[in-house]
Parts: sequence; C-alpha cells; structure tokens
Amino acid sequence: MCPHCPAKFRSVKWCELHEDLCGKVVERLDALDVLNFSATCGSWKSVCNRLQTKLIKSGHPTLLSSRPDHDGSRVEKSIEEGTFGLHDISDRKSFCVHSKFLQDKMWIGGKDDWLVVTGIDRCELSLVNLITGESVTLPSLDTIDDAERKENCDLENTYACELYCKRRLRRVVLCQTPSSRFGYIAIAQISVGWIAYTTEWDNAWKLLAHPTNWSDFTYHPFYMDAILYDGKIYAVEGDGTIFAWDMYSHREHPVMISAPNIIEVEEEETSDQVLYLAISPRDELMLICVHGKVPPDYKPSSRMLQSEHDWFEEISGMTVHKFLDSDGTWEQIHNIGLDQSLFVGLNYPFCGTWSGIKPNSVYVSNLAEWDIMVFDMDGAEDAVFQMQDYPVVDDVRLPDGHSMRTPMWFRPTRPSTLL
Amino acid sequence: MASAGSGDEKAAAAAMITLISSDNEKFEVTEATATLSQTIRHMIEDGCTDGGVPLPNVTSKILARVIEYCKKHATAAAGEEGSSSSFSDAAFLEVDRAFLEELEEFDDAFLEVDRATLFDLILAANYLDIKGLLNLTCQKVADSVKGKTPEQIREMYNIVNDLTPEEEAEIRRETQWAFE
Repeated sequence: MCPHCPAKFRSVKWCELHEDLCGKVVERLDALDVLNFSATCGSWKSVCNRLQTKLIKSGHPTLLSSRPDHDGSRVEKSIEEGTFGLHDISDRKSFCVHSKFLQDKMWIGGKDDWLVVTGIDRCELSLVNLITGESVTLPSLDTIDDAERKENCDLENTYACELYCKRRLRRVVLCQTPSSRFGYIAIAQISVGWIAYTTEWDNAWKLLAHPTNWSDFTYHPFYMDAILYDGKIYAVEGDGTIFAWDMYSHREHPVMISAPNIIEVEEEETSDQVLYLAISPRDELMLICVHGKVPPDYKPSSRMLQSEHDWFEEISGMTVHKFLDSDGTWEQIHNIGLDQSLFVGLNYPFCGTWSGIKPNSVYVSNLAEWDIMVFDMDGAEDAVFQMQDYPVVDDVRLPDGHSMRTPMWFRPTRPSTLL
Repeated sequence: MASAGSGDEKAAAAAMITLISSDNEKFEVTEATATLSQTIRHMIEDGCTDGGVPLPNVTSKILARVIEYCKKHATAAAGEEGSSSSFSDAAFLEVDRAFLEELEEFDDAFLEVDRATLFDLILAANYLDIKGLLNLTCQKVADSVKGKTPEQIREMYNIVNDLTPEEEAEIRRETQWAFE
C-alpha cells in the first residue's frame, strides 16, 4: 500500500475481509440483500453459504405475507414502511424484509421473483423484481380502447364500466416476466366480467371479447383464474366453464369448454368452490377445484385485496382434472406428474420438486384466511388437506389470517452476471 | 471515605496511556479513552502498559481517527454514569437527549470517509475490540449495500468478480427455471 497515493487509489481488498467481520455485515442485511451480497464475489459467497442463516434458496417456493410479528400490531405500519415477510417453507425460516417498491403499495400478482405492484387506489401498475430492483411500468387500464369497452358493455353501464375498471381490478396474472427473452405478458382480471391482456410490445391493455354477444348475456361472467397456455388465454368462470381466446384475435368470441363433472349440483346453499388453472409438468392444462362451505352471511376479510378465496368457512376437499386435447374432455387425476408439487394462489402457478416439500401435493396460498393449505393427492378420491402453519424462526410469526398483504408464492433468484 | 473516593477518580482520570502506531507515532490518551478498547483494557489490567502500548496493526492515520471516536464516546459514557443517579430529573433527561443527538451527529460525520479508510477502521475496531465502533462501521457497510445489485456492490467496493466459471455455472443452473 503506497502512502503517497490518494486514498481512493489504494487497493483495499474488501473480498479479504475476515469471515467474522463479513458476518457482522451480513447480520445487518435482510434476506433479499444477502442474496445480492452473496453473488458479489467468491469469498462473500462462501461466507454467506457458511453462515446459511439468512440465505434463502434460489428457486425455492417462498411465501410472501405481511411482516411477521408477535401479535400483528405492526401489520398496518408494514404497508407504509414497505416491509413484509418472506417464509422459506422448505427450510422453515421466516424473515422480515423491506423493499422501497412496496411502500404504500400492495402486490396483486406475480411470477418467480417479479411482483405486480399497485397502490391502494389501483391506478398505477408496475412490475418489480424484488431481488434486482428492476421495475417496469405497466400501461394504465385507461388504455383499453373505447370501442372495445363499449362492445363489452350495454349502454347503461358505460359510465359504470369506466369507473369499475380500476376499482374492480382483482388481480394481474403475470404469465411471462420481463426476464423472459420474449418480454412480459400480463392478464388483468377485472370483476365486472372483463379480462384484458398486455405485452411488452403493446403499450395498452386489450380487452378480450365477451363469450357471446353482450345482449345474450344476462349476467356478468365471473372469471376466477386465467392462464396462458399454448398461445391462448384460458379463463375459468365461477361455474367451471372455461373460455379460450386466441391472443391474436382477441375481439373474437372465445371457444367454450364445458366444465368437468366435478361441479356437483349444489345441495346446500352454503357449498361453494374456488377454481385454479395450472399447467402440469407434462404440459397439460389442469383445473384445480377446492370445495368448501361459505358462511350464509358476508364475512369481512382482513386482507387489503379481498377475494372469494377468503370467504370459506370450511374446506372439504380438492379435485384436479386434466384436459384431454384429443377429444375435448376432462379426466380426474391423482398426481400432478413426475412426483412434482404445484403452487397456486395469487401467483402464476408453478410446479417442481424441492427437499422439504411434500411431493405430489398442491400448495395453495390464501385460502379461507389460512396463509397456506396443503392438499396431499396421494391415494385419496378427494385430496386430503391439512392446514400448515408458517415456518417459525425466533418465535416471530403472524397469526393466520392477520396478513393484510395477501399471502402469495414467490421464487427468489440469486443474481448471476453472466446471464 | 468520600474524599478518598474522589481522589481515586481524579488519579484515574489523570492516568495517561501512550499508544504507539505501526509507523511509530505516539498518542497520549486518558485511561478512560483508552479503555473503550477491550484489548487495551486487558493490557492495563495485566499491568503491561509501561513504556507505551505498541499497536503494530494500526497506522497513525487510523489510530488518530479511532482515538477521536473513543474520546467522544468516553465522555458520553461518563455523562451517562453521571446522569443515571438522577434519572427522574427531567432537566437531566433533556440534557441526555441533546447529548445523544449530538453523539449521533458525531457518528454520522465520523463515517464520512472513503471506503479504504472505512475498511481500515473496521480492522482497527476489531483488533482493538471496540464494540461500538465495530457496530458503527459494519452498519455503514450494510447500509451501503442495501438494495444494490452485485454489479453495483462490486463497483462501490472495487471488487473483482472472481467467481469461477463453475460457480457461475452453478448459479446459472439454480436460476435456470427463471428464464424458461
């Protein structure tokens, strides 16, 4: 080290900082920052690997929730602060993390390590990557073409439709993230029975045509889930009927696929179901149906983003069907395929195998105000379910149902420069 | 008894320790300042500080800064002890708060150093076992990497990406799913 050189030119080997000292820095970082810190250089990587405590596993299913707490007293503040909880369920570890992107914001969808984020008013939409800090602004829902808007509405409702559009945005399904070399693709579910999509190249939301002519429709279709499969957008109605639109002719009426035989004739007023669409490891379209009972009266939810998934009082089971392309029918299945597990909820669904994760199971986030519910598909007519608590570290957890942020699956990625 | 006690305190306050930096510069400090360092405290307890304390791992430039920190915080520690007896006294609490704020400002200004000095301060704080300074400097590093990508961190800390192709390949493998 040359004493005559100005300080900034002196070569200090930060990489050679002693492990104990490096550890002191790491213990002051949150789990998201550790992921970046560990990808800086070889020695910091090995320090983080050895310390383990805060290194969340790349690609592992991780649950996002409000900031975990002893009694939930800071939950409300966590929205303002942009703090939230990260739960590595395979390792059973919980962390408190912070992102400036979530200050006064909530997530309304996501895929991998990207979230769809919006304010309480749901006016501005953006995609943010929690690890890399990248962010992309999505077009406003105002970009929906007026002609398309009118076609989807009866005249009486035009004003209402415009107003509803933002306020009734229920979820944005992120089918492809900006990390994809084909750019992002997002689907907006708007609860007036509208479904719109946008891509990186569109700069506007395109409204999908109603299933039939508007005048034939006596009610608003209510889409429970939507997915991109084989170049088409599939959406499932509350009664299990599926509609498929070709992305390149979105103003044409969709193809209709009848519901599989699961939707029993409602014996009781209070029985109900929620539906999820997913793609199996063998690239088949799957329909997941969770049955249960809803209370006869409206039950308020503690989530900021309310949905029909919160209202269950009791869950009775789950069935999974796959679509047979050859004859256009459904077949009930008892495994996802390749012994993989499926993760559904507000996130874009994904499958895989991980240590510490029950194989051949469906992990549902945010159901009946349970943060996680696991359905084991092995050897049962209807999949057996169990409620699963948060993994707990240091006794810091959030009581189930107390998360104002809707619990959602997330997959962290360790950054790599060579990608 | 009381007068004897205060006499002892006076003697302690007056006791000076000589610290010798790696480049042979001598620094005279009070025992109260020096004993913020656990390393030096042990040396004093063992009675091996006559003729000065050689600190071969700390340069004069860094030692001067460390002493600056210790002086300020030794006063703070003395102040706290003094006020603890009159804890209920609102006026004292007011003084305390003002003093703590001043201390915080001092710490912030103290950390306005280049990365090389920060590095040396961490090493010195560790070697001299000065808990407060070590916490302060490590927190500074942690704050600076918050929300930064590996590339930004490398640039900030002049770090060469020495991850081997195998290690990069491993990271790529574990992140492969993200780009399917």
